Amino acid sequence: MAGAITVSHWVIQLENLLHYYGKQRTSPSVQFRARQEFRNSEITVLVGESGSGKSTLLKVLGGLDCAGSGTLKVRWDICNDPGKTSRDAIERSLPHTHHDLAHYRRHRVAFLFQDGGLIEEFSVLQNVLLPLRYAEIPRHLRRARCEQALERVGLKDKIGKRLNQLSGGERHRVAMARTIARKAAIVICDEPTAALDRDNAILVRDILRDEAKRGACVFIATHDDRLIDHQFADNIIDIDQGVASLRAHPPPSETARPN
Amino acid sequence: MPHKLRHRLGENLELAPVAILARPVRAALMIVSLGAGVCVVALSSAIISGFSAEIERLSFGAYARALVITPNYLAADQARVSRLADIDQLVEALGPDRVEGAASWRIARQVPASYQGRRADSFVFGVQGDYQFEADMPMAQGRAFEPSDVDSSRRICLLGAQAAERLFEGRPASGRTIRVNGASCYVQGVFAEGDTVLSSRFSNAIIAPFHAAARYFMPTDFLAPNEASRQTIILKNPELLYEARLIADRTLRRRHGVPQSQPSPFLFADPGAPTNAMEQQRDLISRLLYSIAGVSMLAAILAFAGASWTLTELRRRSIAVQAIHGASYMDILIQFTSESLILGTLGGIFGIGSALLLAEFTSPLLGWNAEFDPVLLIGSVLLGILSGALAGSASAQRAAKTLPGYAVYG
Repeated sequence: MAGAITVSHWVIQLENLLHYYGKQRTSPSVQFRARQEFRNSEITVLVGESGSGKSTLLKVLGGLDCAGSGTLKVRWDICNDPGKTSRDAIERSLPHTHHDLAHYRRHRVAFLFQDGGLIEEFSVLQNVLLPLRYAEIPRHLRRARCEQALERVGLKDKIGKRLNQLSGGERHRVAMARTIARKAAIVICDEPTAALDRDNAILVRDILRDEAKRGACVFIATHDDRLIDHQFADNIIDIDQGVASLRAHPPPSETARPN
Repeated sequence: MPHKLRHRLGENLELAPVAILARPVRAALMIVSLGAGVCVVALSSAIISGFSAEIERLSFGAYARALVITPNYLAADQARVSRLADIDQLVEALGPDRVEGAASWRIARQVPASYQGRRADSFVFGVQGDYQFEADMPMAQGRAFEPSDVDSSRRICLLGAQAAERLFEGRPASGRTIRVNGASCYVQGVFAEGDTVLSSRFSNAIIAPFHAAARYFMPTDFLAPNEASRQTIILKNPELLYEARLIADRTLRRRHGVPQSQPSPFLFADPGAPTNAMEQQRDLISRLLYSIAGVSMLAAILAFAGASWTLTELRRRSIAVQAIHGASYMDILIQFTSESLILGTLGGIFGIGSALLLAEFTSPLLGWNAEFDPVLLIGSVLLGILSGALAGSASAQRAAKTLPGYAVYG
């Protein structure tokens, strides 16, 4: 399981990745020309103007959309897939069918969105439980995981409430709890701190750091300066008009990550 | 079933009620909408079933294939009473290919019968031949007449259920001797109570052999020893009735010396005619009711489908959120189909429940007899399930095709 990994290794490999909108492949909406490995316990921040292609790249990384061309490899041996034990299964190019993308999301990825992405009609528990159902987490573990995650975000006492009984900040924390409870190998966050107050933004930042410590490979698209910092992020990818490039690291003395 | 498939089925079946209960009012309205259609179908079927049961009660079994010959008193001085010998001639004229059985009856009304001081006025039927085609009720006590019994002049009789109750008040009657119009008569058996029209005819009856019955007749019921009040010829096929009637009329006119220019001395009744007419009426009503029920059911299915489709549109963001977290096309399809099946089942149960309630309250007011058998009860629920699955299938597919990006990126 992802949570048990301590050795550093790559999780996702990108090389010459191009994404197009529509069927006419005239100019790519986003391109990542270099070859880059993203490792476990790393935080990667995607930075750019609105409409530059951050979310598009996140969608491709999260299996919500297909890359048009190039290579996107996923290391498969760290997911909860008991059927994939042979060496062939260790590396796999990210599949392109909806069914395979669903399989990838189910077993590898946790999401955190700006608006939470919660199901209004479900209770707090049902929302947090949802990805665990699809990830085939054993039933006897689910409740405990949900409670732990809700405790981490300070909402354990709201476990049976409906979403319309919660404030905006609390709803966002429910979404965070859902991300934590999943314990995924890859965490995808799109503007996770936008429209949050300072305390909640700090909570998000801490939680994402904890996820990385646990071994997750975290991708964050953001405009929040507090996150665009090599003290917080291991990699920063600048995206300008669809062209993504890795920002150079500052000297090591400037990147010591605070505890 | 493979473990993975079972797991996913279980998960999605669990999610279906959660999703239904998340919108209780809308779910209730969909159940009521489908239930209304099922209710109309179930109630129509129950009413037709009740009507059929009524026809069944009125039907006469083999007697419905009988040609019944009685004196034609409308023909005044031309009327004749048939004789025992006539029936043999008629059976011979019709031939064994057409005739299944025949009986001669003599009937007396309001004959006083008594047993140890208890009195009852009963009908006395004297019979010769195949009486069991008409008196085909099961025996409650004793034994039925053998052919040798009906051909004899022994003072034996069979009692109808009501006659036995009046004379014996629930005690065993078989083996006792009663007095009928002052003459003794040994009770050989007692008929059980039946719910058909024929059994009610013999309920207050004393059936005796033809030649013995004359002893019990009142002077006003006088018939010559070989005369019968009624002759019954049971035909093998009801379609032979018209032809048999012509042959019987010709034969009897010849025997009784009545020319074709005169009115017939006998009446030829067709006992099955009323039930045939009722069956035609039932078929007409069935077509009408089923047409109405079909249109109602179609309207209910369309309403359910419309509500289901609208609800799916409203839920597309939630569906996409589920897809983001790993729900596949099949997961969503299973969940939505399960929702439709659950709503359909509840709609079916609601429909049959409403039909039962409506029948209970309206039957006395409107005078119809609704009959709900187990097949109808189960069939109504199945109809609800099928309709739910059918009506929800399009929206389930629509839901399953929702792309995950819709949830956050539109």
